[in-house]
Amino acid sequence: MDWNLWLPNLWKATVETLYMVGISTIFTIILGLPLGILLVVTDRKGLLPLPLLNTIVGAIVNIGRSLPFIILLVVVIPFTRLVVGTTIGSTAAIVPLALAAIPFFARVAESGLREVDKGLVEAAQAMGCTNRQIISKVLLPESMPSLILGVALTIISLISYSAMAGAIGGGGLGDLAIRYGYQRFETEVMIITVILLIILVQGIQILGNKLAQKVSKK
Amino acid sequence: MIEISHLSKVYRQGENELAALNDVSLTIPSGEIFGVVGVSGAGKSTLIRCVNLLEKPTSGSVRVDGIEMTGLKFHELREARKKIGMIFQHFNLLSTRTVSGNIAFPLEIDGISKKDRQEKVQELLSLVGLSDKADAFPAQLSGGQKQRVGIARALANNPRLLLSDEATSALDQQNTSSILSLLRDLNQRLGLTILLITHEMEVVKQICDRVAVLKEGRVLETGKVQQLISNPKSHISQAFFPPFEKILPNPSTLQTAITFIGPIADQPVLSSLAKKFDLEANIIGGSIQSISGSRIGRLHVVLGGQRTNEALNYLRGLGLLVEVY
Repeated sequence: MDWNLWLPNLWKATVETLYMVGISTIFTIILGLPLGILLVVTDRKGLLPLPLLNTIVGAIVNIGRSLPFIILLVVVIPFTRLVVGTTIGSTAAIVPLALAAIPFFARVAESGLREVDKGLVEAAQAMGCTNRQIISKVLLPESMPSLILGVALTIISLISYSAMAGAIGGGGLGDLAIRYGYQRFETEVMIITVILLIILVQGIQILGNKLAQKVSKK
Repeated sequence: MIEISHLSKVYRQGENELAALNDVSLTIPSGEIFGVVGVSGAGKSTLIRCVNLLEKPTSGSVRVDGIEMTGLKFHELREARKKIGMIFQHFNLLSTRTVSGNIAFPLEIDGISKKDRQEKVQELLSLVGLSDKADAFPAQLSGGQKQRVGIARALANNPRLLLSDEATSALDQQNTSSILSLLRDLNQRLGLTILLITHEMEVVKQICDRVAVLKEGRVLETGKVQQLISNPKSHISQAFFPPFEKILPNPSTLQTAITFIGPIADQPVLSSLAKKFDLEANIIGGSIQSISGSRIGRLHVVLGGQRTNEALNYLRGLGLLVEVY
């Protein structure tokens, strides 16, 4: 195996993975968190019960979660073109990645927010908080450790999804492993990419745990 | 301070209706500590939550300081709530904020400047005796300390009314006592009116001026603790002094229950009675308790002798409550 040839390839694939996962994580949090908050708040027993809206949003989230990623990747091609102007490459892969992760993270955030003791919400209401204040000053800070772990979980799922991004020319470590390691029998490439992926996943999880522990004062 | 009239709360679960409160009327005078007692499920929790509208009453009226709470719009209700402090059984402190941060929370909600907040927090910390714990997180505190933080937080907006939802139920004996004396102290120093709910008679005994007994959503009795206790028929009295068992009748003796209230509980009434009327006085049961600072005793006494009737009149003349059975 010629390292001079492979090193730039591995580097490029790693950067592509980090790029796809990083950007899609940002969009996932920006859009998934409000969705999770919406699911909690509009619940029958929530701060602002809106059962119909809750059911509709819940159903959409479920649909998003039931589509296999490889299918989603293809189905959303017209939407991808609309958003980023292209349907191939790493940037194009970000759209389906985020679309797959948003409903996933919405559910993760929802369960984290639900863990917040109802008594805290009640105490805040008794103090005259608005719903907005309850969300920003009680629900979010108190569920922060769960949310951080949820983000770590989502990033790891995104790393795994991103291996399929090769189907639309997204590149990345997973793609490298499939094309060279599997299809061309370059076993070393396969092993190295897998090791890199393991390190990446471990690193994210450890970082997530550390951060969650740091913000949790329990 | 609080006028509750004909308050009802009905929970609907499908076809079933459950009346948590049934036509409850109570008046809580300003500056007093008013206790609502009852077993769990009696509706205490619903009642206290109807005062600051955490629960919306099905019908009836709740007036706090003259303001009809049930008629307020949401933003008016929020302003009204800021003037009513509340403490909870499980403290409900924010785990991610320090003691100071928790106490500052209601001030932050109210848009008070950071400098003023710090000043007020310092003042509240010393009021509840926690100045050295300002930077601790709730997880590092004992139950009693957590409740002190809860009390400081509840007082941050200078309320005239404090609602206490089983505030000592999760605490041990010692912490319960210290929290109760803190509440009594705040009541006296700040003129704070306190409405508390509890299932512990001990709380009523230690700090309540007035009490209401709630059962299955209805008020069984209400009044001054001292008066209720001195009435042997009241639920409160029976809770403190369990009814005496009747012993085997002896035609020549008289079984009596004598209730002593106040200073007379400290005097040797029975021995002077025995001498004066040449009686045999046999105490077979009873107890003396200290209730909100005054002593009340109830004794089960068997009197034997010729002049028992005279003796009973003498006791009644002293202001003692005497029952014969």
